[in-house]
Amino acid sequence: MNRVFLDLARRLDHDVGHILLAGVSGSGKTQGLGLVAREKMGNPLTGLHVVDPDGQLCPMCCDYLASPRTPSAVRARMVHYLYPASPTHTFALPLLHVPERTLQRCVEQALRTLTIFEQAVTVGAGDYGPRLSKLFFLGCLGLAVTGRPLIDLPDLFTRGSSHLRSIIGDQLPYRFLADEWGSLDLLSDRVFLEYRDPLMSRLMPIFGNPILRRLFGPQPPIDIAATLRQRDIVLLNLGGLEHKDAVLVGKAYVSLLYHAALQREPDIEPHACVIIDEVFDYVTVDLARGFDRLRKRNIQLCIALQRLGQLQ
Amino acid sequence: MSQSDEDRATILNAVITNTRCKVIFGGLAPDDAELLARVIFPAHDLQEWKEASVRMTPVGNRLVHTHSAAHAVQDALHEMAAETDAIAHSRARSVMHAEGRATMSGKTRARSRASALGATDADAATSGITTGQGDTASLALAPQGGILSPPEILGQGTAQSSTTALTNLSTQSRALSRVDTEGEIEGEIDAVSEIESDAIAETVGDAISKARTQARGATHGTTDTEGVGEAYVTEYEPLPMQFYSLEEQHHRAIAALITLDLRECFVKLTNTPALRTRTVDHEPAFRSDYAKRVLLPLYLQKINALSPFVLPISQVDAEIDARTAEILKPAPPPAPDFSAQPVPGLDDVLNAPGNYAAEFWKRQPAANPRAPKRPSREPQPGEPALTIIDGGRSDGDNNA
Repeated sequence: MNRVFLDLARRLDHDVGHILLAGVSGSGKTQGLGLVAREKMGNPLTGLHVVDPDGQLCPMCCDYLASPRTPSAVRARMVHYLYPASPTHTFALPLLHVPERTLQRCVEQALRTLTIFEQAVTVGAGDYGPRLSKLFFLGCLGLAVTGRPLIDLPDLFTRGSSHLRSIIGDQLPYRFLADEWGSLDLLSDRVFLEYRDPLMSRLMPIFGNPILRRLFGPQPPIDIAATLRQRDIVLLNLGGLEHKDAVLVGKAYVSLLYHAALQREPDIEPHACVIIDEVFDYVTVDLARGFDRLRKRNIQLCIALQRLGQLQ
Repeated sequence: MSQSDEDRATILNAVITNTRCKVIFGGLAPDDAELLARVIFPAHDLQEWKEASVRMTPVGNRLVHTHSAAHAVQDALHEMAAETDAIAHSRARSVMHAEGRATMSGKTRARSRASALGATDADAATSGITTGQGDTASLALAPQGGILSPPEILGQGTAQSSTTALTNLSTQSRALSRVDTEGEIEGEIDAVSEIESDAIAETVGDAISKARTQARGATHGTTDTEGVGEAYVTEYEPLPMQFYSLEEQHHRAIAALITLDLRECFVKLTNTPALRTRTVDHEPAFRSDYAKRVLLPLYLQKINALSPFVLPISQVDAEIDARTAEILKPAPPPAPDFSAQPVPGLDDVLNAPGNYAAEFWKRQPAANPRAPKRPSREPQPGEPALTIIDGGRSDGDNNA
C-alpha cells in the first residue's frame, strides 16, 4: 500500500492540476506534502515554493537536500531558505519595490500593499472608516514613487504630514491624488495626529517587531518572478513567528506570488509547484483566483487544510 | 480579515472545483466529510448488494444417492409337545394247497402269502414361544463433494427390536396301512405217501399304539441389509436480498472518510475512482544525529551564501538604522531668498495707483484690526479700591 502512494506522488505532475489534502491534525497531511515536495525537488524541470507555517515541512526539505544520500543534481539546485525567525539571516518582501518606477506600477504596488495589510490589520474598519485606508494608501504610493521601502512609512508619518509631503514632494502627477494630498496639507497638526494615531496603533505591532521590520526593509527583496522563471526552490519557514505575524508574512508572500505568476505567459513558462501547509491562514481572494488562473500559467498549487469550514 | 461572505464562498468553490487531485485523510468533521464524500465519490454503485441482507435461499435441487446398511440379530426358542394315538387293524388270510406222492423221502416246501389292511388316525398339538431381539443402524450419505471433504450425512438412525411370538399348532393325521406277508416253509420228509391237502388260514389282529413327542429348538439368525437410494436434495446458497440505496451509499462514503486510520487516505485523481491508500514511511535523511548536526548547518550556510535574496541580519539592521537616522534628521531651514525682487515700472504706479496699492497690500500680511487699548487711570484718593466698569455705556450698545 505504501508503494501506491509513492507512485501517486510521482504521478502528481502538472497535468494533475491543483492538489488538495484535507485531514485533521496528525492524520498525515504533512507527510504527504513532504512526499510531494521530494518529488518536486527531484525533478529539475519544476520549481518549488513551500509555505510552511508550522516549521515542519521546510526542515524536512532541508534534511532531504542536505543529505548525502540525495542525488547530487538535487543538492545542487538553487535554494532560497527564507526563515524570518532565523537569528542569522533574513530577507525582504517585494512590497513597494518597483524597479521600473512608473506610476501604474507604483499604484499597483501601493494597492497590493494595502490589500495585504488589510488582511492582517483592520485598517479600514472602525470609526475612522476608509480614511485610514486612504492615509495608508497615499503613504505607500508616495513611498513607491520616491523609491522608498515600506519600513519608512511609520517614521514618515511620525514626522507629520508636512514632512511626509516634503519628502514625497510633487511627484504625484494626477490632480486627483494631488488634491488628496492637499486635503492632508490643510489639516492642522492636531487633526493629522488624530488620523495618524489610530493607524499607527494598528501598525505598531508590525513595525515594532524587529523581525518584521527587516522583511519590509530596503535590502534587495526576493524576486519571485525570477525564482519561478529559474525553477528555484524557495522554502518559506514561518516557524518561530507569532501566529499573527506568520499570517501576515504568509499572506503577503502568497499574494505576491500570485501577482508575479499572473505576469507569466500562459503555457510556455517553466512549471512550478506551490505547496502551502495549513492553508486556511493564508487563504485570500487572490489565492482563490489563483486556483482559477494559475494552472494555465504552469503553476500547480498543493494545499493542505484541516477543515473546509475554514475556507467559508 | 476583511473578506466578505461572498469572497469566502468563492474561495471554497474555487478550491473544491479546481483541485483536480484530492487527498482526503481521516478524522474529518461530519459536514466536511459529507461535502468531500459528494466530491470524491461522485457516482455510487447502486447495484451493490447489502452484505447484511444475505439469507439462505433455495437455488435448485441436487440428486444424491443414499446408502443404508442394517444389521439385525434374531434369537428364537422353539418348544413342541405332541401326543399320537394310533390304532391299527390287520386281517390276514392264507390259502394253502399241498399235494404229495409216495415217496417218503422228499422235501417239503410251502409258501404262504398274506396281506393285511389297516387304517391309522393320529392327532397332534404343538405349542411354542418364539423370541427375537435385534439392533438396527442406518446411515444416509450424500456423494462426496471433494477428495478431502467428508461425505455429507443426510440421515442417521439406530433401532432396537425385540419380538415375542406364541405359536399353537394342532395337527391331525390319518393313515391307511396295508401289510403283506409271505411265508415259505421247507421240510424234508422221508415217507412215501400221497397227500393232498388244502388249508385256509385266516389271521385277524389289532394293533394299538401311543406316542408322545417333545421337541425343543433354538434359532439364531443374523440379518445384514444394505441399500442404495436416490433422493433430490434442495440446495441453499447465501444470497443478498437488497441493494444499497443512494442515501446509504453516501452515508457509507462519509463513514469511510471519517474512520480512516492514521495516515490512511483516499486519493481522487481527475477521472479515476477514489483510491484508498496510505502515506509512505519517510526514510530519515540522515543515518545519525551527528551527521545531521554537522552536515545540515554546512548546507544552510552554503545555500544562504548562494542566494542573492538572503542576507545577514547584521547587514540589514545596519542599513535600516542608517536609513532611519537619515529620515529622522531635522529638515534644514529654508535658505534665505536673496534674489532680486521685481520692481514695478514707474508708469504702472503712476497710471494705476489703485491697482498697485491693492497688489501691495495683498503681498503684505493682513493688518490686525485690534481695538485701541483703553488708557488706564490711577485711583484717586477717597475712591474705593475696586474699579468700576461702565459696561460700555459710551459705546451706545446699551442704549434703549
